[in-house]
Amino acid sequence: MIPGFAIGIALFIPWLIGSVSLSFLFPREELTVPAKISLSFILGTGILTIVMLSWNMLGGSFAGQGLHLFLLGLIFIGIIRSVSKKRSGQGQQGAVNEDLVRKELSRPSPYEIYWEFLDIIIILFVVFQCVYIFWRAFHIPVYGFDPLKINTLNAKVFFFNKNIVLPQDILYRGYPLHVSLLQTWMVLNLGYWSDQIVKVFIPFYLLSYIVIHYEFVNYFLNSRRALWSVGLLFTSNLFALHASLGYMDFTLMVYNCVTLMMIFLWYAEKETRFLVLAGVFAGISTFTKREGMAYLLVYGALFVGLLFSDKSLSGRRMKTALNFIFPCLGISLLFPLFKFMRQGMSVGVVYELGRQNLARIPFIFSKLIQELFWSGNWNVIWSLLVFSSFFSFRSKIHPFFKWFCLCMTLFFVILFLLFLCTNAYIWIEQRDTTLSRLILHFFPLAVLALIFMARPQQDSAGPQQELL
Amino acid sequence: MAAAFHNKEEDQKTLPRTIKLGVGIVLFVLFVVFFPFTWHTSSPMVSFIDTFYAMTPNRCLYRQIGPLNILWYGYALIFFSSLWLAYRNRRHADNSPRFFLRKGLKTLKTGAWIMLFILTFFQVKFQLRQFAFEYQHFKGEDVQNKYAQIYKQTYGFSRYCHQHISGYARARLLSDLYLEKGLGLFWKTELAYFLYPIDILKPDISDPDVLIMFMKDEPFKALPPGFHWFSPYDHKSLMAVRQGGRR
Repeated sequence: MIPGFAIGIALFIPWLIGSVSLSFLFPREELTVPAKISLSFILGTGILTIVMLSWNMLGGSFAGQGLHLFLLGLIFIGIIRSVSKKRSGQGQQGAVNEDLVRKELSRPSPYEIYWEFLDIIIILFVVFQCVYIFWRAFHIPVYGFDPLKINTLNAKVFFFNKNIVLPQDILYRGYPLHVSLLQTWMVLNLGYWSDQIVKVFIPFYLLSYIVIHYEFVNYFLNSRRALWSVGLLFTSNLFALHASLGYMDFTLMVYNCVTLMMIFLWYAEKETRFLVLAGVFAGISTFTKREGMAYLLVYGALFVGLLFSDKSLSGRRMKTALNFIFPCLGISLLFPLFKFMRQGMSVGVVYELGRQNLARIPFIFSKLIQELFWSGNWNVIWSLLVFSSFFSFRSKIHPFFKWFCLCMTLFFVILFLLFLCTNAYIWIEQRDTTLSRLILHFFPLAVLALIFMARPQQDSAGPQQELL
Repeated sequence: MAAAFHNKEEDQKTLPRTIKLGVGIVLFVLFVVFFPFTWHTSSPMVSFIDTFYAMTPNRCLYRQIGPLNILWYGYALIFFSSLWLAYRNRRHADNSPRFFLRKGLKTLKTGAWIMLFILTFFQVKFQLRQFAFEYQHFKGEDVQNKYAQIYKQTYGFSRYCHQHISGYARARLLSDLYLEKGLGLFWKTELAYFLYPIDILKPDISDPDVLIMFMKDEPFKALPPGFHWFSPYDHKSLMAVRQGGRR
């Protein structure tokens, strides 16, 4: 097959799956078009790999057109059901878009012209970064230790065996397979192995993420702050670099942050469908990298915190919680079940509990501080966040700021405990290869906290006043 | 996008000025960002830009200037600027420690924003240089040539193996390198990936179809009986297959 056409098909099918699935939750035109397209892609790729895993669990192989026909059948049934649901008007009532109306400035600032120049520069900057990232993703073949040892190697084994064969190495057997299966999917459509094409979907994750990030900030604040926050994301070297590599970390970052955004949207909108979506994304994040399982604690804590902070939900908290718990647990348990069926028991991190571990504390702190404030990974985003937090006034802070801080604190606590209580300590003590990539998983929260720190000055009535 | 924030009257007043300044700024940005292409790679300016970026998949580094990372100088500058500004305002009517603290923190925050812009500016310059470099090296090349540039030690050897064997084969890797740590582990990982479907992933395989000798002194001496070797890749690396075909 012609490579361009094969790539197009390989990206279009998961997008279509996502789009059809999303139309069950949002049957009317509630989401903005860019948000719907982006959410469809990341939802569809997640569902695709879950279907691939389930297909294989049920004895299906990747040889021939069986998987494609199965998927097309599912899409066809999905479209018919979605259309009939739309016609019968069973969809949930609600008009998210109407609430998303941007608050225009009542009067332009005298410095508006300078802000506009800054906007132009940021747009140029973002466009340049996207062009560079796409170029790298499409022209530099997969490289780096993790892809060659774990995910792309898995994909190569799956592709040549036309089956999911868990790695022999017990240390790497437990790695979730989302990225590996997606890479397998890319080359299955191509018909031959290509070290280049296996990773071309990564920049599409970037594109989807920046659209969702933009729409999220735009919804709560305004378009200018949304643009700045996208620009701030790209100031981080590691963020921009990983958007063109074949590592699993960028994909996990996307699912991790989108899960949190969906939880915040549920809280703001009181629409359980955002919660269902958050549950699905949380489940997919556990299927992306092992850390995703630990991050369930953060989603859980945030969800419970928001659930109990809202008095209007009293009496139906359990019912609401099930909307999140069911999809999340359903997807999270699938890969452990698969490993159990294939007797693919693995060794992950090993607990090393003991009083002597307390001696690690100063080193872990120093590594964290060095990583956040003195490395070249994050520009000065974390320093800015700290300085700005000192200077901000309580009255001006957006209510979500404290929740972003809570999430970041929980992520740092998880990292801290990981290095304190397990053998993962050698990753920072001897190899120094992991910490930066772990922080990447929730780095966009720092940007969101920075952007949400101050209330938009000229918005007389933002959605936060109505919603929170 | 931002134009949506204006009313029409305001637009009419500011449009010509906006266009003039906009064109000016775009030209300035283009000039500044593309200028590095004309610099010689050994120029001090290029070395300076290179201090702002050094990337590996695991981390990006700011290189040292003298004994310290470039961020130290930035932080020191904004810290002393805040102290100096707070000192300059010491005769302010509200002569309280709280005022100095607020003034100092405000300067720190402003300084950090300025630092962000400066660092980003130089990062973009570096990325442009990197883009030009990668474009030169990877444009239009096929994947084999690209890998030959990235993985010089292992990729050529794996190509040599694939020239002699196609399809799945159970293989054992023999090497004098320590394959469990350091460079040996990296090269083993690269070989395992590039060689597949010649499979060296299974540990302790007792009856391999193929023997892969990589970085092994006198590889012929290490060859067990019953294996036929192909013309060696170099004096330390070769491949051999079981005589009488694969099992």
